[in-house]
Amino acid sequence: MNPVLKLLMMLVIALEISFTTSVRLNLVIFIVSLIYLIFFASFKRIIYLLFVTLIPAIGIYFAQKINGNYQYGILLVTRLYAFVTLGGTYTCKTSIEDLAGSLEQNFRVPSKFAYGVMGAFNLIETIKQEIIDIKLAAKMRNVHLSYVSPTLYFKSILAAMNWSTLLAQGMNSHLFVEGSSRTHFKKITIKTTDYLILIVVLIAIQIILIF
Amino acid sequence: MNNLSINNLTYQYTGTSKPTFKRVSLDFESNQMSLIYSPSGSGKSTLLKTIAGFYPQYNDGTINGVINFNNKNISEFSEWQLRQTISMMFQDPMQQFCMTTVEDEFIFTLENLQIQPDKMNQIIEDALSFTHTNDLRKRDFKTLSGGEKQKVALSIIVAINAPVVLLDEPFANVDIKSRLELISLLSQLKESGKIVIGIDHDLMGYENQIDQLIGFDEADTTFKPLDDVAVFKLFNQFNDSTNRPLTSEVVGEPIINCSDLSIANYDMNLINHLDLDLIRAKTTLITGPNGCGKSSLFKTFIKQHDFDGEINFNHKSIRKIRLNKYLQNVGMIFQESTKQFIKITVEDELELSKKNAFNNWFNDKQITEFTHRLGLDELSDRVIYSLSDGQKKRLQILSMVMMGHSLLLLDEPFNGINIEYIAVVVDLLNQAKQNGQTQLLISHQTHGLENLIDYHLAFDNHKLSYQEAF
Repeated sequence: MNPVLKLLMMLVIALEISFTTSVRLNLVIFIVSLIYLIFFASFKRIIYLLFVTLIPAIGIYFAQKINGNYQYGILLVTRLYAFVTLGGTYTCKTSIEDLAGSLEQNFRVPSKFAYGVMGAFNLIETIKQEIIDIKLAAKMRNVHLSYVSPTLYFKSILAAMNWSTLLAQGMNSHLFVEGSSRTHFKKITIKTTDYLILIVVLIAIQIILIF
Repeated sequence: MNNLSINNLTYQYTGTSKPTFKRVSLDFESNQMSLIYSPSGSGKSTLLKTIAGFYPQYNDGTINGVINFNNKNISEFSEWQLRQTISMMFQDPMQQFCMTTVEDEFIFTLENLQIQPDKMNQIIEDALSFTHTNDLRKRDFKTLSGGEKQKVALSIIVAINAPVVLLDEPFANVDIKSRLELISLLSQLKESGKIVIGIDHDLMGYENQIDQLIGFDEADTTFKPLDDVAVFKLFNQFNDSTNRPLTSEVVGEPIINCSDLSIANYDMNLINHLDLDLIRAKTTLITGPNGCGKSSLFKTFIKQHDFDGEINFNHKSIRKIRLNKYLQNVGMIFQESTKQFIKITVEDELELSKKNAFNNWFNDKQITEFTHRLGLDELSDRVIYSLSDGQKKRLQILSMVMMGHSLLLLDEPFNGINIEYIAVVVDLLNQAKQNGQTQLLISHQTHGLENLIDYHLAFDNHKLSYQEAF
């Protein structure tokens, strides 16, 4: 399915389950997403998603139970799982490159925005490593930075700013110029079936909600 | 036949009182390779980025003068046209890649060049085969060594196929073998009709390959072509020493002992079942081809890389020493200087080292003397991030040596440092060594290090062994 339409579908579903109180709908979304994940995602990832979510889920459930409202607790827990597995179905099959490509090619979003998002996304790892290195460098100088040290923030912001300028320069050096036209190696299209899936899924959700 | 001419080019950074260089007039032609060779901090990187049109776009500065390509002023070119005419390879290839894999970066570049998708595959294959790196096509940049990245960066430049190719210290992280290989590739590029302009602080391997050597004239703060006599003298200075004998019989007490050590990077084996002693209060040079695992070995020694087997520091397994405590004894000079700094100004940085030193090996007088000899005294109130690469490197080395670690790892500390300052750094390191410091050094540059190096370890076949020369 087209990455942007898929994202749109996810957002609509997420919004709907946020404002409705149907345990049944949450369960249906959870089960469908889980089946999807079993087919397309790694076993490790599924276990990770289910297990990590368990911690807040238990917390929420007991908090509501203490208030004497265990039904509401169940609603929140199923909603939480529906959110997590739904999100999981998106990230397991869709890459940020495809999303950026679709935004640029199908939805006429300026390419600098599409690639900017992607560049920033690729920078996350770099920035994480920078933070580890900053702390390491400080230790060698007998300075111990904690997560509240201004130096750590100053240095990491500096690193991020530095990297963003360098990234812009780097993209520029490989001929990326704002507003200039480009060809596309991977054509991303919106198929009729993509619209059909979108409409059918959304209608199905309304039916589950009403009946 | 193309030509690039620079007329009366002056560049000044905002907030400085003097221009970095002024009235530079140079001519470059097709089938010509030129090299700009000058001390670090003289502004050769700035000159190159100005010619490429990155400055003043990416930093505040003022530019004066005219750059003509085939008698057309390049400031009248559209940005896309300019980038297509003048391509540039950066010093750190990672700063030039914005995708995660080699192939994606190629595709991104070719899309920007508006190449039709059906032609891309052939262009990518041809460009990669120019540097013999076709097998890297599907690889993630994170898994490539420094030299491999540089070869890929050069391949992309080949794919862009611009008439002017600029190279900013293209071989800073490359071993001698790859260096000679890459220089001969540049010659091929030049012979195909390109204008090739590089900057470097190391002349090794360029002899008989370059058509024009450009130096920096301190008196006029300008760049000028050097005459034959000056060129001859410079090359002689670089070629005087080739093989310097050492002993491969190591004696002394080990500070680090590795037994059955194995290190892998992703799925690549770097070191296999190594047994090795590193001797206390000596300087050991470590060399080996790109990607053999020198940097990974250093990362392992500062507990930032997984390993199998055992590493003992002062007879105690490093797995059992807490990181905080360990780093009081073991310090590392990173390849990338900016990572090392904690403070904002030069003065504060040195003050911090003085105050926090683990061992006070240097008294105030000696510190002042080294600060002066490294040319850092006149920079004391400067913001570190505004310094040139060479100045940063000198500051970084001094502030780390002052800390007095009993083991200091130095990863390519001489990158960007020119020959006069190398002697000062050698003095500084020798003084620390007399106080009992053990030094492990990774360096491609070995000129001027005769008085420093005690032992030489070379990588071969996933092992390290002591050599009889360096």
